[in-house]
Amino acid sequence: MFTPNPILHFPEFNKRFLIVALIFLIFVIFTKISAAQHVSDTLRIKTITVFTKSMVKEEAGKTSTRIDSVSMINALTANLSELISQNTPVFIKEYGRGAMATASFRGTAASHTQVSWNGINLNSPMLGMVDFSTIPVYFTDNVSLLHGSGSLSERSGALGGVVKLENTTDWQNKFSGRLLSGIGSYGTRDEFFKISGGNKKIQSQTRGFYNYSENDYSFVNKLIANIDPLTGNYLYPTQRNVNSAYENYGLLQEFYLHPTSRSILTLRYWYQHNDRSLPKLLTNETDVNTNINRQSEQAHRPLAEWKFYGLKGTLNLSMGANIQLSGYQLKNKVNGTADQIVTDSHSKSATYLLKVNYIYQFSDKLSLIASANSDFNTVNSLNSPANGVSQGYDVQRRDHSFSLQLSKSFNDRLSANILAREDIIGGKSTPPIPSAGIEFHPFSDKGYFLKGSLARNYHQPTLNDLYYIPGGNPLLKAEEGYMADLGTGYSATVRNVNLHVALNGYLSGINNWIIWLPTPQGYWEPYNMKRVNTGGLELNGGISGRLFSLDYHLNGNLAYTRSVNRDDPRNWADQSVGKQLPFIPERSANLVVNLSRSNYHLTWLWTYYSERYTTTSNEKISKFDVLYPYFMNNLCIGREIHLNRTKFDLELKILNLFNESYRTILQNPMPGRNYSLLIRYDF
Amino acid sequence: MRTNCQNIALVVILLLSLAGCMKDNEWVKNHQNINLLSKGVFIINEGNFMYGNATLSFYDPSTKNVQNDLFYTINGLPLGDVAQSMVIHNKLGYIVINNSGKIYVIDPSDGKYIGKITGLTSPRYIQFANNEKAYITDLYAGKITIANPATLKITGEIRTPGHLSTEQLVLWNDFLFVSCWSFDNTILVIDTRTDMIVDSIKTGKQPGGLVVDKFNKIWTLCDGGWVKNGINARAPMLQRIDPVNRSIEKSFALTSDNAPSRLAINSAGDSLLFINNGIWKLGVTQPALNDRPFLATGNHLYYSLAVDPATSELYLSDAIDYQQPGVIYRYSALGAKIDSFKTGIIPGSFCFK
Repeated sequence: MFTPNPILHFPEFNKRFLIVALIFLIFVIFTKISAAQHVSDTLRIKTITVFTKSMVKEEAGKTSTRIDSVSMINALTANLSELISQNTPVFIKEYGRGAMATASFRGTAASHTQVSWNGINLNSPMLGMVDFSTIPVYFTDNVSLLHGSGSLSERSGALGGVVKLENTTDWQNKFSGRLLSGIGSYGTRDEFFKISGGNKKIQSQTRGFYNYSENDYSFVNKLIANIDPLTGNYLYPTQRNVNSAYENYGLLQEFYLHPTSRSILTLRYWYQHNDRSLPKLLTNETDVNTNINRQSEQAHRPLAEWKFYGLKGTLNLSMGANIQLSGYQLKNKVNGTADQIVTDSHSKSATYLLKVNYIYQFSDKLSLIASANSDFNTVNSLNSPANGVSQGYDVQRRDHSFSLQLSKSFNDRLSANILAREDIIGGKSTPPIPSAGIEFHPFSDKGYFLKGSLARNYHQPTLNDLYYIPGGNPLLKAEEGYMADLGTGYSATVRNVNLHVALNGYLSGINNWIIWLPTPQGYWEPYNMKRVNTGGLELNGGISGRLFSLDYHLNGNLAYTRSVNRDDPRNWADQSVGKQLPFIPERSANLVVNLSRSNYHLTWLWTYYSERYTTTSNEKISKFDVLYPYFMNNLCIGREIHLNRTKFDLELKILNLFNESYRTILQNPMPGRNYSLLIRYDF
Repeated sequence: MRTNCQNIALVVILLLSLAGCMKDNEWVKNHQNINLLSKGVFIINEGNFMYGNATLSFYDPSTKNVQNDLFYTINGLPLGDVAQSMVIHNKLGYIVINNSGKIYVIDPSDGKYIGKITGLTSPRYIQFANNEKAYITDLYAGKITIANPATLKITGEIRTPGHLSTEQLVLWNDFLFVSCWSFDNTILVIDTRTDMIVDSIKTGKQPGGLVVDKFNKIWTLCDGGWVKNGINARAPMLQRIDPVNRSIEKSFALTSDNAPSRLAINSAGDSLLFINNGIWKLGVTQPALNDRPFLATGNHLYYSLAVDPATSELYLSDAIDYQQPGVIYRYSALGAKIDSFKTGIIPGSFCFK
């Protein structure tokens, strides 16, 4: 008989997780004491993750994470999914090497994490989510996360949070550049360049990348077997990950202009092309001429931004577009006949946006931020199934959003802000979306802080949710969330040792959670679940400094995430209520250790996810009802060579250091130990 | 100095403690003999598309004992992605794995894997003409594959031009009647002596299930297509076919709110059963449908049904939310509930032993 669980409960961490957490904390404290004994050491690595900085009233109460420059440099050739999974508490669900990667931020769905690039929302209005594997870290300068309610200052709808990608320029630069060239296992090639030039009035930055991989690693497939006719033993085939090559390339052009001393005009254009095939599942034993597929996507992202700095106010105007063209074809070759097309789908989704933001400082202690967004979303989707009539939809929707934020600094220890947002989606107003945050520094040492926030949030159904054929459900309601954050932490620089640690807890209840489920007719259809409750803890800590002549930098995250179905049970047998949502790990952790001495550097990246259920009921009837815990170790060793005013950096990356056989989802193999060699040239 | 060494040692210990230890091999390998499978029913659990988590269950109605995840437990191999159907022929069980392109062959007495037919495209159902010839339909190949069950080799194919999808099949004398389901409205007639298509019958939209009644008439259930796809959907219907004249004799219009599915016939061959937002029963000589279903849906999500050919007991599967182990309800021929038990994810078809 079904017994409901408490709304949110936090069962005991498993032993291993607890040990790691304790070691992590003890190490942070231990090293701080040790570091105090080395007064004369100088700091070599200046940049650290700043989990909380000196109090800014506009950000009071908000939880944010900024990925430090060491990690950014280390991930220059990586995509955003690798950067996020290795440096933040956000869980990235990878479908294989080079395949789609989606984010689950604080136990929410992929569409609840919004990605903004210099103010443009990269989430497709058609699908609602972002494929993190397609965003090159090389095209951004700063990556930060706004957790939970902190995202409302950017926009509504990010029930998990916002990943902010920003680009900057160096106004002092005259001419500089960077070339990166890499080769790797499985026929992988990486090429990157960046050329920057200008003066104090105008700067230009051009970046490009090309990335290709055959991706044809071999593996022993133990999910299928032939029977040895002599011994009766199983013979597991050694296979290659065929039909999974990928090719990506892109160009980002930016112009920064200073038309007057008080204004900056920025023009950006980002073009990208992604092309890949999806391999067969491990259990697949079809004919070799089947499952031939290709997925391609092109993105155009023009953006113009004008910033005017007044005496007391700053005006920011931006307009741009995010246009995505996608295609997917799946076919089988049947001898003697034309190719049998199973699926042939094409879509164009675009968001054209206009945004105004004005910040007015009444005084150092009081400010007002007013902003207005207007997005015109359009989707044209056409799907031609096998033997069937082409079908699709062509829909436009105008979304407007207005917000006011009042921020007050009461003294140098206490700040607070309140925000009210109003959305008009497709001509219909949502109820007001409020949020409030407060931050308090209780001691004279400003490194300690306490903070908290409360907010309401809405996430609208995507256009696919509403109109996709077959299955789109125009009666879907918006997802409505309430969220609360409470956090504390400490950051300081003690005798040239930078230290920070922060613990944040959150609770959120999301009504009308949208989920796609199969129907008896064979297609999938979205519907609103009654409620999902999420809650958890995020612990972030880091330390950097110098021991002897060794510069060290450690940063780690631990996250405990509950994301619990609170829908009504369908019948007596429904065991899903009160259970963790599928594929969301309860526990996750990562650690980056960077050591450098003279011109040598070494980086160790470690990532952990606890087991993930593949069913809504969290039962363990079959081995396939749960994915075993995930541990991954990557190592990077490099050397810098300085020649006159130029610099070379030679790097060897060893991925999957312990050569583990593993899977991130049930049926896709992942590669064993593999390597990449990278040469970087800065001038 | 000592403190620094301790620090470094601590870092090394910390890093080693974080070393990986994923257990893919242990996760996969698991052989375990089970008790002999007596008389009962295999339940083929489809699993989720692209998850590869199809499973096989076995239920003994005399003891009410159920064994789940049977294929993996015995053989240490997953069944595959989307298990579609199963047939026992000549003391061997043939499990068609749709999205894995293969048919696993097991010994139904102990569940052991003894062979497979591979190299198929998207197989759906298998029908045996004799011990050396079987026909396999396919969702996306535009052909029916012929295989030899004795050697487990593919021996031929029958092209079905204009019909990409072939679905269920019944053998009527020397003729094979094959429904063409996906976006189609045709039943093909194949002469098993020549393996040629000799005729075709136009039906309602998307004919799926096929059964033969006690009068040697063939019945088919046409689901009408996707209800929400207004352009392409048609009214669903139940149709009776005269296999001699190869023509539709009678049509029963069904409500179009739900796609009807899972046509079955009782052991006497005189009553049809199918799902259409509830379980409907129709005598083969009945002039019209009943006013109300034989069993109401209630709060169940009935996904599949089958009738025990020996007892006419009814087995109904409830997929619940399609993402957790489903439940089987066992009813008497008169509709009295006898038992219920959990199986695997999306229990989709049954095979009586």
